[in-house]
Amino acid sequence: MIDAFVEGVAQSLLPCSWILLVPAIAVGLATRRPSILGTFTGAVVLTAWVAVAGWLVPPVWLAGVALVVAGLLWWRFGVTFVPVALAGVGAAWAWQPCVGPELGEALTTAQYDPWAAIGGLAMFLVGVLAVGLAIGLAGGALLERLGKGPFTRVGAVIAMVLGLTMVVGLYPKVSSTLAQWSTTLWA
Amino acid sequence: MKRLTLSAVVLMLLAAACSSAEPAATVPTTAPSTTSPSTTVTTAEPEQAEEPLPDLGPAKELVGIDGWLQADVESLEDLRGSVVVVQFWTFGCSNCKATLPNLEALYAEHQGPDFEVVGVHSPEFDYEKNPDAIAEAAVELGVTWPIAMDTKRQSFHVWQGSPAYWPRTYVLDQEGRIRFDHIGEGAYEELNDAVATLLG
Repeated sequence: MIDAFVEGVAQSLLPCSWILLVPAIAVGLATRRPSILGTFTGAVVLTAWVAVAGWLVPPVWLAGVALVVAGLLWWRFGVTFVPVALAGVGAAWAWQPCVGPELGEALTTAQYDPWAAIGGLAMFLVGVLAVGLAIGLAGGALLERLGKGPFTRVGAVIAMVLGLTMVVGLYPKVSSTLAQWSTTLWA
Repeated sequence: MKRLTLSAVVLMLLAAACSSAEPAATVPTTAPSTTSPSTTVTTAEPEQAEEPLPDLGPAKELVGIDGWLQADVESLEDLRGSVVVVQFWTFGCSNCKATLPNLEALYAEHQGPDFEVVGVHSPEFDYEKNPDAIAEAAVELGVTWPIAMDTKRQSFHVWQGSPAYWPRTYVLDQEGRIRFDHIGEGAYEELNDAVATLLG
């Protein structure tokens, strides 16, 4: 279990994780409430698990719609449970993982026994999200000390922009560009 | 509400911890899935190493292939009678690259008329679609086995259904039936054992 968590932490900065990392940073930047952070994490894990099991694998544009709606609700009502949960659902639907050994075992297991796979998958995702939430929380605390913010609406904008790229079909191009930049940087 | 949410998260993590306490996934000997080849996870436990390989059903043909690199064949049908490792990969995928050293060693060990490796290159991003880039990457990464270019990812989805992943590695027996299936890095010993078993 701990190996899956560590793998999630290690893979959090790879381009395949940015669709989870960016919303996680936005959530961490907007709030410190454990219930909201937990809601976001829970939504990502459960949605990803349902998708990995093959029970519900919506097209990317639908993930985009979820993110746009999340962004609108977030903008209108603030960082509350519903927009944060919707953001988690949309991000998880759009997630295409890098599959290391631990996640690979979970995904392979999920093909025939989804219930046995939830542990490894959950720990991997908690590892990825922990990095994003930590960055967001640290950034929020720093900005607060500098007398800036709070940046509660940044996440709303991010969710809407991400969602729109998916709805209009630009998301693959954006992902590709980011992946290429990232590959160049890592090289 | 706050307590409820926290309780739900804690319960979920507890459930996760419980499921992880079970032994490593074991091998179903038949494939229940009808939409895509089913899956096996073999364990490294010595007592299970001698279990017969599961028969996961007939492999599908490759479809929508734009061309082949480094190959004398044009379909998997041409390789009937041989044990074939089929790996879905793309050259920009770091996890795919991590599997290549083992595959390279396996290919070097068994290369011949009875054994073949086919890399089905299914690009994730636009920059991975260029055949010249694929050929260049193959040289750089030490990929000397045949590469089927699945640029539109048709085979990728026909074989795996949805969701589909990189890398995913199958072993086909001499009759073209799937006897091993693994998603992601790892399970190298199991892969090598499956090939050795099928080659007798």
